[in-house]
Amino acid sequence: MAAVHENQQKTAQLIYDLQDISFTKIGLILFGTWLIVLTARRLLPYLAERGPSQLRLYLLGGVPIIRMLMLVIAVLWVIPIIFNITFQNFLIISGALGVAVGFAFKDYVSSLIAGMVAIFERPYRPGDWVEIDGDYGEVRTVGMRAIEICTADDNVIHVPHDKIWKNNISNANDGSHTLMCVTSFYVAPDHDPAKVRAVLRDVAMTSAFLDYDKPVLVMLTQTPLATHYQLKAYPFDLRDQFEFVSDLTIRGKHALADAGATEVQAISSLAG
Amino acid sequence: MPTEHAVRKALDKLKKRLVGDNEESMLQQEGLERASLKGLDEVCSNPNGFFRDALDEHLAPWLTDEEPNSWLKLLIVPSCDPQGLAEDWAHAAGHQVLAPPQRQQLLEGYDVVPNLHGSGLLVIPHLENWFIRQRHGLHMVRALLAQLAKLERHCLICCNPWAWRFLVKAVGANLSLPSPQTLAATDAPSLQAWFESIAVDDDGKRITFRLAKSGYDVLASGDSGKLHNTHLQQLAARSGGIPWVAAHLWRASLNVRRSPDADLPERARRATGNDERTLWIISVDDSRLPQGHEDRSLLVLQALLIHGSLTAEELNTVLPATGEPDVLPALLSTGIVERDAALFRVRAIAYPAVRQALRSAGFPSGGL
Repeated sequence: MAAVHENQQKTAQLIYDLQDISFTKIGLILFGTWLIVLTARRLLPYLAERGPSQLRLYLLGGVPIIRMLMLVIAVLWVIPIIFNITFQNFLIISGALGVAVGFAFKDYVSSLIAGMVAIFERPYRPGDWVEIDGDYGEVRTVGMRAIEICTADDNVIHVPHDKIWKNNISNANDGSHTLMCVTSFYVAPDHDPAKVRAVLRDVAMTSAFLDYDKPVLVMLTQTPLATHYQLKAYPFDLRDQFEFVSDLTIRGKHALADAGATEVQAISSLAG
Repeated sequence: MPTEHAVRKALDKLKKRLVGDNEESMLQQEGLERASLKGLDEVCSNPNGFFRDALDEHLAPWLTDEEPNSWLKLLIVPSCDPQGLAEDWAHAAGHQVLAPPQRQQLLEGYDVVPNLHGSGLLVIPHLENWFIRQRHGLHMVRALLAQLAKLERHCLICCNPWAWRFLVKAVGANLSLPSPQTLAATDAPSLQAWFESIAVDDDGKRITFRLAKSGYDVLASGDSGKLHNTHLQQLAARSGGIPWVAAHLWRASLNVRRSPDADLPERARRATGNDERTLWIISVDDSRLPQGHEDRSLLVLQALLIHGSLTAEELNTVLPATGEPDVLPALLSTGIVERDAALFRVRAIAYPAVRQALRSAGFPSGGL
């Protein structure tokens, strides 16, 4: 009878007695997890920057996956050490957590869950170039709650993961080593469009940054003020995108002048 | 592969750092200096025997065919080839060589192709000399390809792999020319046969090539002909099977003792007992790109590989105008680039490291 009573008491106990909890074990688990996550955060980006560029995005993308795996393992390992897990206790913990999360940490937990979803759905990965809410930059790190974007002006922007619930995420390369760069030219209508198209194509073909495995396209559309040429091409490394566009712009301007075409400044034309 | 060489070096370094260098070298590198041998220098700087023999053998059936499937043959000649390799072969065999236009003409958009008609074999030794990677620089090669597509005489077109990759993209050269072919890669047995045939010093003494670290004779083989040591295998792999690159790496690794009269260590004396003349082989490290200017250096090296060689002015016209300082002097001083009059080119000995660096950085690399 006493044994049954003791058993019932044990079942009702939510947290083990302090003397029964192995704090050393918990400490070792947390330390080990922290060490592995830290190593992954330092080592993988280090290797990514120094190794072959083809592996860069894979290595960078490994960091959030390793961190999530390690955290899940650590939590699943630590919980049975502290809590007496029974069905009854599980319901109690879930209820308490639900209330706490619902009132106090709604946005925070929403971001954490969105962070986990982002690891599987991959709207962005470290190394990707994304635009969120008008901010365009390289995803530097994918954290638990937020991502860090570094813009072309070297500003670091923290964007919480829960943006993926409501906002559009524009990903320029989507895990690939390159992305399409578009260089625009506005030309006065009195020119030979076939000739201009050909010279702009040669401008892209002779760029030192060109990716030979991707197509080059020159598109033109007629606007009320000018003929709008869009030179679309890919650099062999997405980190060269601004250099690439600058190179195409400089040489494109010379090519247009040689082809007898006159560039138009749309804004000054409007003002005039 | 050059990658294998880099990994091997990195592992050696790591091993030394972790456990120390327990394996004592037979001879210390500091006690050695570059061997001065005129005969070997000449052979290594112009290893055209490989090219000439292979080309004769490769082209003979096609040249005698009066109605070949294709009048054109495209041969991809590995980069950093010795100057005049294909021209010398063509002149020696009495074939007509088509001279390329001046680079200045290419920059001005000149596109008048010389008359290609005639009889016998026409040789275009360097297709890379028919364009310049600049917006005006593709007109001539386009005109040439259009003429070649209509040609009805045997024509051999040689091109380096980096230029070919560029031309396929920029002007669709693969649509006008037949599938590219290349010579068989040089392997360890052919290197062994070659080095054995030239292993005589300027005084006529037979040379034995030994590793400074272990004393092994790298040309020694068993009854089955299999090499005892893997050094030549590693050399063939590091050079990418390119004979002139292998020759330069080999030549750079050959050393003699600084003080020949000083006593040899006991192990070395036992190893060299029967040698008439011993040359010691040490490892040749890759040159490093100028620190802090790696990106610009790689752009320069890619441009040089695509064009074979360029003057400083021509180089400026094919590189993006970034306003960065000129890296050519630094590349010259590190031994990655060499100068021949006004022309700059990548040194054959640096080619494996340059190719690896360009590939690692994601540049479209030369290859079929």
